[in-house]
Amino acid sequence: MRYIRCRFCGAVNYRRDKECRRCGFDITLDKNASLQKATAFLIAAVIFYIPANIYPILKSSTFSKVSGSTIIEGIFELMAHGDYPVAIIILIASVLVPVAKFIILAYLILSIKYGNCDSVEKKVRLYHLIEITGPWSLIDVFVVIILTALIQFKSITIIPGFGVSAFALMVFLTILSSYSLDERLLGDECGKQ
Amino acid sequence: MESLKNLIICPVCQTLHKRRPIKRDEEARCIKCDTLLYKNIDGIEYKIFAFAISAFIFFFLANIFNLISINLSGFTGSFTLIEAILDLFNQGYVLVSLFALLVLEVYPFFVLLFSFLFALFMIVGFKRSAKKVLTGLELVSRWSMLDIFFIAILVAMVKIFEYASIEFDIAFWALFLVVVYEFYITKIVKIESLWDYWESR
Repeated sequence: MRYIRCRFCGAVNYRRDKECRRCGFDITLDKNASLQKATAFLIAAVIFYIPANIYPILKSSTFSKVSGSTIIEGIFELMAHGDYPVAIIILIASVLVPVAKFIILAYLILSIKYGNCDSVEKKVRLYHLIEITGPWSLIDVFVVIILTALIQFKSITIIPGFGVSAFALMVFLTILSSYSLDERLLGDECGKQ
Repeated sequence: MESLKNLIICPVCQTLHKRRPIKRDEEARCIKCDTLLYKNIDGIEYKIFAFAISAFIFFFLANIFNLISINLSGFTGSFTLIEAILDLFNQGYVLVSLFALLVLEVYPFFVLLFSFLFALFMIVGFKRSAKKVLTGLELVSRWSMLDIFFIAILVAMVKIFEYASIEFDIAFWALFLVVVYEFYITKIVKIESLWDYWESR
């Protein structure tokens, strides 16, 4: 293929060029660098997923005791109160989406590494999907920030738990992993055009 | 160089297309996978200029007034955006609070500033300066997360509405309008279209 698309501004450039003619960003396809960065960020994100689910993300302090709840416990509490729509939103955004992102990113990394040419378009669509949905997992972190700021009474106080830091880091690292992965490498060695 | 300007590669299937002039508000789509390639946004700088000024005013209001007020068995509570971030910082969550400060205050502010400056520079004809702010806009826009925070407010309210009476304050509605503006710039107009527009002028 003679031409290459700039990831930053979308301009068409000659493949032999190093910088985009329009925005000046690096347009070279560096398979090794892209895979190494994406894999490193992904592994770090998976590691932080464990404390994010083991430790409470929210603690409530009343006169007598301090009790915390993890993300999963929070979902069960919501279900117990009959708040199924919110419970489903949290379940999807905070539990299922991060796991799905790990699996998809690992699949895309392996596809590029081994030059798999099957369903390239679907893989690019998957990439764009995780790029768009990735930051939405932060919804739980923001809920904690809001409740912590709002509920500071004598009788009850909401305190963030350690899990919230791990969860925010996990989401941040997943976003970095997807940004590091150059989607133009998907199918690049498949002799298209 | 001239010929490259007339080409476009589909971001999904990588099919190479030749650009053709299209009418105002029309869109060009990929012949193979139907992905949006480009659209005619002539005169967009005047719209962005007006919307950005309004968004700045709403961003200011969203920061100085309370977002939400609640009443829980006689105890009242409220918070502003910056108070929420500072509370987290004071509780020792430095990393998360700094992250929140960046994605909820700093980057959204720069999205407004850069889009406003882009429109201004395009109107007065400072093309080189417009390119610089457009680069900045592209960099900061992906890290602005006010839209997620807005939905998080609604989720938090659903969690507590059984126990407390809730009042949505001025800042909540101002924040909503800032989110609408950012959605317009990044999802409806799209920054890639702004690059095309910048190049075509």
